[in-house]
Amino acid sequence: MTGSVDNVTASNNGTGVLVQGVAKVTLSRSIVTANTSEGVHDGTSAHTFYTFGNNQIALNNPDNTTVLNNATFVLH
Amino acid sequence: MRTAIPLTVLAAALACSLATTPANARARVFVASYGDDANPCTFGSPCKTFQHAHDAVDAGGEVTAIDSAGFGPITINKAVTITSPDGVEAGIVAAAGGNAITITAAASDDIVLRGLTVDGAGVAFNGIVFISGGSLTVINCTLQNFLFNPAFNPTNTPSGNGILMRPSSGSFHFAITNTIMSNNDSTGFFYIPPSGSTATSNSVLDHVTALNSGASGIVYNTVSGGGATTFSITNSISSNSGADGFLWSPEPLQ
Repeated sequence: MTGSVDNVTASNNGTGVLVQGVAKVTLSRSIVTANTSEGVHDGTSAHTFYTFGNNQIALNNPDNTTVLNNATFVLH
Repeated sequence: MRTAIPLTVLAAALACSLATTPANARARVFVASYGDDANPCTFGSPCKTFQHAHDAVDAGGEVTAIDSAGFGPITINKAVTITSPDGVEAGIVAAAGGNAITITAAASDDIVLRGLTVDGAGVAFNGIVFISGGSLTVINCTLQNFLFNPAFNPTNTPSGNGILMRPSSGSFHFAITNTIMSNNDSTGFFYIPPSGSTATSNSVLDHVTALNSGASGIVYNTVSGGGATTFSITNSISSNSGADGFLWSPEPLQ
């Protein structure tokens, strides 16, 4: 499972964006806000949830609780 | 009260009348609020339901709604375009416990759904259920108010979804653009091949909105089955979902 997610908004959900297992997903130019469980969650087994550092992730509760790989995921 | 007929419909009818195809060929058929399924589904004598029009049209043909009305659930088993021109609202209200649009076409068949308002009315299970086909294109559609069945069983057809992708084999592609899925008990868009599925797919979602989904907004889940799955999602929104806004899960949920 491989794909790109660009210029989307995830707001007022439980978790905004959740990627698990061996999925390979890129997230770019997106807004993730006001999600009550978590903003983004990287549940991939080898940190294959990628970003380019150009997302806007804020005001979630919390923005993130998983260990993000700074080499592939930049939380802004 | 007279109903204005959009120019796009008139143009389609004119093009159809000028075609050189044999009289018995029906590359384009029509439905209307005043139609009757005993009619030949021509512009002058339209049918009443999408299902009858689908059965009457040639493979690869087009079914066009002339005016705004409900045209009933449909099972699609061949290449076809079901379209509602601008200015016309073609509705499908599914029956309780049923699905509005079920697609069981051949691997080479291309299906296009344009401009449809699909409503579960809080009693029907799914808006679009894709089981087989070569491709599916959904443009300018609304899918809303579908009911989650408490007797949900993952080996059967899940319920409460706006669009449910349930392919068991083959390789296909689909595109969904300018489409809203709202107030569905489970998921707005749900890609979940059944157990043992070998289906592979490539998909594009653009300008898709999932709003007020009871579970999640937009989900790709190959936990039970499915082969290579690739996707591009752009310019879309998932909001006010009970669980996840966007979820990709090729393994059992945590």
